[in-house]
Amino acid sequence: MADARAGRRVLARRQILAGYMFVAPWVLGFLFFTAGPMIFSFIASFTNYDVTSRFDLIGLANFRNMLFNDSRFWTALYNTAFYTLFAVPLGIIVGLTLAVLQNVRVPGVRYFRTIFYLPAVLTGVPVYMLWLWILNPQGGLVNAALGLFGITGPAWLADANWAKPGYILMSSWGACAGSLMYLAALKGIPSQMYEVAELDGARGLRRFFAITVPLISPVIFFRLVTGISGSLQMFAPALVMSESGAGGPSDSTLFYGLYLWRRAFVELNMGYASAMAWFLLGLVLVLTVIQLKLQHRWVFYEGGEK
Amino acid sequence: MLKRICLFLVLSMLVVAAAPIIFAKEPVVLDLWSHWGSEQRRPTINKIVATWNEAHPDVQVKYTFVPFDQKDQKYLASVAAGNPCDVIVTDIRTVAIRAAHKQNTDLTKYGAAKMRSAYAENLWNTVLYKGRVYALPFVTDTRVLFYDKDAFKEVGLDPEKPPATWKEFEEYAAKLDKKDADGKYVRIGFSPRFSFGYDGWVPNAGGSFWDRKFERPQINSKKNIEVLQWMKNWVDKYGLSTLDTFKAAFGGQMNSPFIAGKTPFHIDVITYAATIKKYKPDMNYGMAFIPTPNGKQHKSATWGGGFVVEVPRGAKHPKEAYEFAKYFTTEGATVWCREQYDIPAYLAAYRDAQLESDPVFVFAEKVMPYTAVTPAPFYAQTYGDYINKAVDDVLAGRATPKEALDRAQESVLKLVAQNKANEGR
Repeated sequence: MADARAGRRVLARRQILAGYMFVAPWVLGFLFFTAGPMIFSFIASFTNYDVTSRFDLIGLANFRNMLFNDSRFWTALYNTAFYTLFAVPLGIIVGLTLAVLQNVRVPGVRYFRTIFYLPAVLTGVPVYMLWLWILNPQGGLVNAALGLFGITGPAWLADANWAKPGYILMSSWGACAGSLMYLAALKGIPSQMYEVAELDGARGLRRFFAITVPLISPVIFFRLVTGISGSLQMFAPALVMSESGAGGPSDSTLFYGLYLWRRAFVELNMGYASAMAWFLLGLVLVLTVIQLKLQHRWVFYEGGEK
Repeated sequence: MLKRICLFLVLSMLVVAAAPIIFAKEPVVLDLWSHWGSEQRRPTINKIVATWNEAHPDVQVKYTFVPFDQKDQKYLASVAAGNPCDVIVTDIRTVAIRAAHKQNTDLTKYGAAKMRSAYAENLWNTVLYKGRVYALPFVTDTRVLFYDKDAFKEVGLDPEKPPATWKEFEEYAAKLDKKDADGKYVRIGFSPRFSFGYDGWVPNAGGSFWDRKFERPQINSKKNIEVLQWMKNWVDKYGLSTLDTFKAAFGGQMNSPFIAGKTPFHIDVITYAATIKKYKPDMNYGMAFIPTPNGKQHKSATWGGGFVVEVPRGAKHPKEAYEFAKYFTTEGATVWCREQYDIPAYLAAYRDAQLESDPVFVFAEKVMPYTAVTPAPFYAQTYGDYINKAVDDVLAGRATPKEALDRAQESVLKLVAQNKANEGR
């Protein structure tokens, strides 16, 4: 009896050890490469650090200036919130729709899957250059398509009212790659579920919302959490696509990350930029905690919640 | 015994083999960074470096191309890491700021102050911080008005009489407008939206965004408001979206609307002449002073930027680096300007026979007295962002010039106050 208990304890200890071994690469990487700079930037956020000449403690001055003395900070936060509010749901809808389409058994579906996955292979600056053409007011793909319906498209990135929607439209590029995760989840839904539902007389959309969505809700939840934190950090497209990377026109594409970057590397106000970074981290943390609290209202885990 | 002899032989052979390495003086290798790497620029800089290397076997220079948009960050990071290059070609407007942030080396101790009279005075002023020398000026540029002589003839204007006042400029431009049968513009005379920009037109009209010391902003001055209203009126004549759509159809130098004959006026740096030569060598164009409100040229009728040569702080061989910087900004600058149409800071280069006979260079020399080379404001390097927003807001009709510029003034005042507080500690 005692032996069996001891044996179980050894096994449990081994399993714990194995668990730590599996996460070790990430933990070590974090400790060696990320934790140091993070602690440094936390301290720097209370200083006037400029990289080369000074590092004096100035208390909460950076945070005070940020919140009460800097209209561009709020502009940047608003732009980023606006982008996130539309880009994240759009990404989920596009990704899920594509996944459902790829889940249909038609001949050649493998080729479609490859085609839909292609955007994930192509990322970064070349894609932004491509989208500069797609969104070109004259002869761009989007406006040419709108022209077919007799609509004169806007000037997109050159127009302060349309620049953000332009970036939101562009964000759907990445959604195609995300559809792969939904597809994997869709494949995991037992077909009996649908058969039973059919017997009960449910079809089409009803089946989709009553069975498909709840059963893949953990994946949707995951995409929601990572999508929000990713969108709040959005930076590179505006740096590449706005004129001289300044977030124009009229600061309409001055996203949080871009503004942070300009304060840090154009003005060398590294302390201020660090303060901005920690504010963003706090914001992401709060949003994530709220989502974790709310998840049990709609996220369905097979086999019950842990 | 035999063993010992063998050992002795082996050891002495080693010493003999190593002697050249031990006794010969290793040449100093200097790392030079600049952003010039294009097929147009690169051969010239290679030539300048090769000439130096031939004459100085003990100080060899290795050239590294660093893309323009990454240079500032790389410069900063390499100084912070204590491993910078030895010589760097960098922006003329921000020398004092880098000096204050301890990014570049004080060259005064190597005798840089003695070089003062070798360079143009307004450019020499940009390399000083608290009376000490932190760089040597290399080149500057200036913006001039390019105009299409054929278009002038087509509408009955005298191609030898470019506009001199703002009023003439507007009249000429109106004459040069051309629409197709549907009423769409196929040629737009001029729009201040296209080139030069608000930050060019303000000093052109005699205004300024800053006080004399570039410390206190005066963005919402009466003159600045007037200039923005003038721009707004001219943009409204065509409609902002007409202009933006027109502009969006062009991209890159090859496809510039001026070269394509779609805009008969174009304001650009004087090296644009080299661009025209490359893409449309037979173009019949003229170069002129940029028109001013009353037709009189004055010392900020146009503006120039340019480059200096610095020795980053922490460079391994500052003394040799300074000597190379001196060569680079004197003899080197002469070679550079002959081939690249930039304007040298080095005064003796103006007497270079080849430069003196080049009409583009001769015209550039004429424009220089009317060219302002101003430093970036010490406490608000990003002030341009606030002004651009004001201009965008006004041109799109979201604010009046006064409202928009008042807001920009208020924001930049705050920015200056914050940065001053940081500096003062």
